[in-house]
Amino acid sequence: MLLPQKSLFGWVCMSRLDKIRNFCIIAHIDHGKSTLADRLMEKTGTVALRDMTDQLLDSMDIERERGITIKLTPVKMKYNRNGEEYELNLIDTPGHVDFNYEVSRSLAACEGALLVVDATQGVEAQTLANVYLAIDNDLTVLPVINKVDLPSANPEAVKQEVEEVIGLDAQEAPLISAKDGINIEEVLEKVVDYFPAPKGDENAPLKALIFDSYYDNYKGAVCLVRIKDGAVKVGDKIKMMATGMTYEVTEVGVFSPKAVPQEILRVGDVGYVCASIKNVSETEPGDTITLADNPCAQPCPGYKKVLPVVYCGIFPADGSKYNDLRDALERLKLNDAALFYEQETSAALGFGFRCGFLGLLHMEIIQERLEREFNLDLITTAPSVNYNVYKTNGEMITVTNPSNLPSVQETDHIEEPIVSAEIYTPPEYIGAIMELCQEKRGEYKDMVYLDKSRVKLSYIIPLNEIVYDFFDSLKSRSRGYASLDYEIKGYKQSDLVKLDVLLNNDICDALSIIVHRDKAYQRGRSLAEKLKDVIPRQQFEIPIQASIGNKVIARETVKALRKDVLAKCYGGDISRKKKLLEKQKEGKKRMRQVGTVQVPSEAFMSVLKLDDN
Amino acid sequence: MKGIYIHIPYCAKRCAYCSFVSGAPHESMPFYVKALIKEMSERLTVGEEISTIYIGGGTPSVLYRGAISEIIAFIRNRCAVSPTAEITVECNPDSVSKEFVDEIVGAGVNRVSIGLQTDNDELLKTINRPHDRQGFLRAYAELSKIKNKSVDLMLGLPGQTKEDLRSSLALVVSLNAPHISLYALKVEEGTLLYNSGFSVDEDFEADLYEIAYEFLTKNGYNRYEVSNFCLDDNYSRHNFAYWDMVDYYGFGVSAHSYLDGKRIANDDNINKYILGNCDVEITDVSADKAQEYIMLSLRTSVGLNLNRLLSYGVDLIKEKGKKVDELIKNGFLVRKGDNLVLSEGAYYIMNSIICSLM
Repeated sequence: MLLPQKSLFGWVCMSRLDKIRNFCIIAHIDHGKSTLADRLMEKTGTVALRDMTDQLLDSMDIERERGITIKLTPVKMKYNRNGEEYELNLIDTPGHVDFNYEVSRSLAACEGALLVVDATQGVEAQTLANVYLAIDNDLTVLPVINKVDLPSANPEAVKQEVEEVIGLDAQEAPLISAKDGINIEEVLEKVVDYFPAPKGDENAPLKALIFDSYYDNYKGAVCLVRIKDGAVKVGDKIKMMATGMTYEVTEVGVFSPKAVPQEILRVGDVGYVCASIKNVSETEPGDTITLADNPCAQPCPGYKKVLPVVYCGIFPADGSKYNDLRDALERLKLNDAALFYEQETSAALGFGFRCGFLGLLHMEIIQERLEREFNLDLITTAPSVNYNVYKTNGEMITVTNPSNLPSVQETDHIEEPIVSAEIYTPPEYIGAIMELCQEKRGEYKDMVYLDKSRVKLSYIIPLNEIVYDFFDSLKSRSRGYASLDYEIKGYKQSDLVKLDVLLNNDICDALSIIVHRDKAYQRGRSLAEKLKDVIPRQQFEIPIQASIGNKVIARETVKALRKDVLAKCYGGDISRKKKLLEKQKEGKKRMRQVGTVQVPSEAFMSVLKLDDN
Repeated sequence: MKGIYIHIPYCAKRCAYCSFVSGAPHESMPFYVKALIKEMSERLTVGEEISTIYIGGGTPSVLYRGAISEIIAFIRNRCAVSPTAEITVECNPDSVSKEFVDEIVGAGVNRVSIGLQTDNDELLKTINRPHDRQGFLRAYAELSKIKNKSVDLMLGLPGQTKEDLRSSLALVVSLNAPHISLYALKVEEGTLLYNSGFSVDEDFEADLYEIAYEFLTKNGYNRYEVSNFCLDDNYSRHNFAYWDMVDYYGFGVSAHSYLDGKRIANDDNINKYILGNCDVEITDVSADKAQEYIMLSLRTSVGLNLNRLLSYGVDLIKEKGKKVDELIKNGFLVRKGDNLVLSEGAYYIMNSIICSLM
């Protein structure tokens, strides 16, 4: 490897680059990615020990609680190796398939990736998916075997697995315990020795890859960038190559780990650029920043416009909180370009929003943040996907909301998105998982034994089935061992119908779903049964019907309320009784009126997860 | 004219369903009575007109002899107790002795309320009652000097069958009891029954209630309130005042008063009460008058008087006319002149109807 050289005028260009390493950490959830990141920062003195809270990089509560990373935060660390000071830029990556595109963009900002493998668990599906992404992006991958201190650790077997399954040379893999800080030094040494230095031309026009952005109240949208060529400084007129928008740079800087302004960001650097950008949707991951009056010839490869794949309706449980919900979504959108929302009106639920997400986890995170950070009580409707509906008049429309599905008479045919799904599982669950995939209209593709204890099953499955309860079923049928990775493959024509629910003969639009005709009976039955349990008895009998068009396919009845009178009020204690009645009245406020029927908010939620058996 | 309620927090045994303040008979009883007298002397205005006195609990009949007469005598001395005042004492069959009866008759008590609950001895044991069927009959006979008797029955007891209920009703009706209170079991947290894991079957309770209603009506009883039935006009003046929102005092631990638009609740710590430092919670409900009136009046066969409700500031027909019409149309509510009364079927689901009007 090249040794850095000193000239009279400071570091020459090549040697400056040679002392930079840009890398990321790839790991399965729970395998210790964030803990390792913490240790690296601690070891390089990037954070004083007393400032350490566990898992610094995961700055959102939800991330910290779930041990997953959603937002990426790059950190610049200083490290001395053989008497030379190196600049190590750690770019954290989200660990979930929903954020695959974001992962690929942050990988594109690196030259190296540490692959953290749990010495007690071995290689997991997600690890694999991300390793392939890294290899696709020409990264040098260094395996790191973590948790070697645990009694059940088997580092040698895991090393062998890494070699066999992934095909990486694992002989050099440091054996560490991130939790106890064992052997962290070796990881840092290897980062310097093993990963290549960035390349690029400082004299070429600016070419900076945006790999993420976030919203700051004072600075506006902040772009996280890797400078591929050239340099950028305050005052530069810049242009986003995908959107064509131009801005004037107001601040550039690096994270260590807090934002520290710099005079200039040069080729090889990882840092941030602010330019009074109003909205993160103008700073799309994968886009390239260049100079407005001296643009680079080609943008960074790989840019994609991110589109939602999963949709659901989100309504305030208390109808009067509509404005609060709108404000909350606006706030979240500032920081999350992938979140999509538009106003939706439901006869049952009133005013709310149809929201689009990158995937199920993204959806869950947004719902949770709305409830937690904005203190909102929500009603969400069943997740839906993008359907292409071809009408008899030749028109094609995209439908994400079951209520907007044209009538059967107007519909020629419908296409639904399909995914290629890879399921990694120990062999003993193959049977159960194949059954599940079959039930979910899966089309068997392939099965490969990765080693004695690990099988990869490949299926083509409609996304519509994945968003329903596939993941939960997969986990329960494999005792939590199987994992799923999926990628949108395209569209396929399918016999889909709209399943409606009628309460006392009125359609409850918020409960309508689009399902395959073969599944409609089963779903209709379990919907009706579930609703029967959650809709409280009322003054009259309530028929619950599930129907396709005018055809009723399932029916249940909530019997009329027979008795709700309370016992004696002793000694004139009216307040007890009053409290009870007031509570009952309060409860009624949380009810939605569907025709003549009072439906509790919980009912809408309870049908989201139906047990098919 | 006001009513007085006095709470006696002592019982021979704790019933399995009971969540009210009560303990075993205790040497503290005389001190408790003293504390009662002290509270009354602090709160009762001299010469105030009193129309009803109700000594309940707990089990007032477990008090030592002389206690009840002392309490009543104190009220008579302090206030102007109407000569026609209804004076009720609650008792359990096992503590009704000749001496007890002599004492209360002497004190001018003219109404007793006897806790029978059921006449099935097995069931009585299950719910931890201190008496049996024979004991009840003996007590009833012992109390013959007091004509105006009320018998408490319960429905929905663990294991109680329709036959059990019919038998209890038949017994009480055969005695010509002028008044019957019929309470549906409710399992309250903290009771023996709650801890045993028992839960009420509301549908079955509704069946039982229906049986009782039909049986009692057929035998000449008039349901004047959801849980209370009487022959002729032997309704409980004291209890009716609660539903009619007449002012009343509540004395004793955990007793509640309603005075001048305020609900006053004494705390439920017996020891603190005896020591004279009972915590008192006063809630001004004068603004809730209309709501309370809707809630209470619909319990009774008189029903809700729209003009009276108007005087409390609510024009029900204007505000909830559509709902009222719907309830009438669906057969839950009946309009009788300016009054709205629940229909027979609606009594069972009174709470949901009241809620929809509040």
